[in-house]
Amino acid sequence: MNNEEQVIERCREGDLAAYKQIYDRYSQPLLRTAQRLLGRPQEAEDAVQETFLKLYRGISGFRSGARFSTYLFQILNNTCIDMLRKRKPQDVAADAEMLPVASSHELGHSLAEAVESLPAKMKACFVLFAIEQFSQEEAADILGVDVGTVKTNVHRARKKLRIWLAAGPVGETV
Amino acid sequence: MRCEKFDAYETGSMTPGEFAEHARDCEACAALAALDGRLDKELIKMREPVRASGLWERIETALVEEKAFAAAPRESRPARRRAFAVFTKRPRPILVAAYSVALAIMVLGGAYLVFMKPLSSPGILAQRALARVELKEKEYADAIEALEKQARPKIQAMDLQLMSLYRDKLATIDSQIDKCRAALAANPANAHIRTYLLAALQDKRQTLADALGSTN
Repeated sequence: MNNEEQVIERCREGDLAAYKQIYDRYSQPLLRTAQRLLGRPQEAEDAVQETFLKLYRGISGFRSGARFSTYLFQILNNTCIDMLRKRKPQDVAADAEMLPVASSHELGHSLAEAVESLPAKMKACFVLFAIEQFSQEEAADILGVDVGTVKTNVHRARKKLRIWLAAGPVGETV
Repeated sequence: MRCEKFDAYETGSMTPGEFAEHARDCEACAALAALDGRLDKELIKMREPVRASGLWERIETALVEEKAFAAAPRESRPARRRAFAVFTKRPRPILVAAYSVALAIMVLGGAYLVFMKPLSSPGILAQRALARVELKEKEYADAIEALEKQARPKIQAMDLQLMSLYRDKLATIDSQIDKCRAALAANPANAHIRTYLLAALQDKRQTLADALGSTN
């Protein structure tokens, strides 16, 4: 039994210190992913909190041998989808006004905004694969899609971002 | 400018080595590779740590509540777990104020109902009103009965056709009155049946008055 399995076993027994270990290990990628998917830092924190609550409630259903990080990110992804569904139309309109303008961006900070402006599924595939460095298979598992979908979406996302990057003040032509 | 070799490289059907060799002679692919390199550098920056002050404390509080909830016997569990989540996520002053106002209204409303309750209950008032209606109704019915006593000989003195006409009409009205009284015996406070009864009595009074008038 490796260290993570032991921690998961303690989680099953309700040991909160074990949850803290999970938090220390995964909170950063979870928060980053939630921020990219939701676009709002406060909501991202709420999503991570909800993820841990769902983990607590469902840890007994986690199969030993399955990859824990995939399981955890599946919960996070579903939580983010639920939160996006619950958003009021006026909130979505307000978000749309905050989307980056391609011709007036500053590199670095604005690339994050450009990623956030990608279509939801494309963004999820790209964030998991290109930023959080899950394999295409793992990303597909988390999102409940096939590997081909992940490949296509990542490819399209990179294409869009390259175009976006090239259109900037220091950009080259594509 | 575009080159299909770049797509082949991106989709994995061309190895990085093969692509690098190709990009030496292809201007478009060299430019795209340079952009790709910049993109990868920027993506590394997006993996920088995110600040989340007090997040673990909030999660821990929520987990402790969840643990207590799960440990409690089913029948003694609080109604909703999520109700606590409102405050464990982050305290929102407006929400707290709204809950306080709602609680105050509920407490004051309850106190008003308990302490300021009127001395006479609506049930007693309804019974009094009903008794008054029944008394007036009886007086009215008695008056009509007296009128009927006066009208009966006059109806009998009418020609056969007119007499049967009045008798039939009065029999119909009496039948309506009987039906209304039977219904009221089961439901004395039903205002609709009382209204039908009053209409039938008025009809009878008018018929009797007509009978008395027609012979005069």
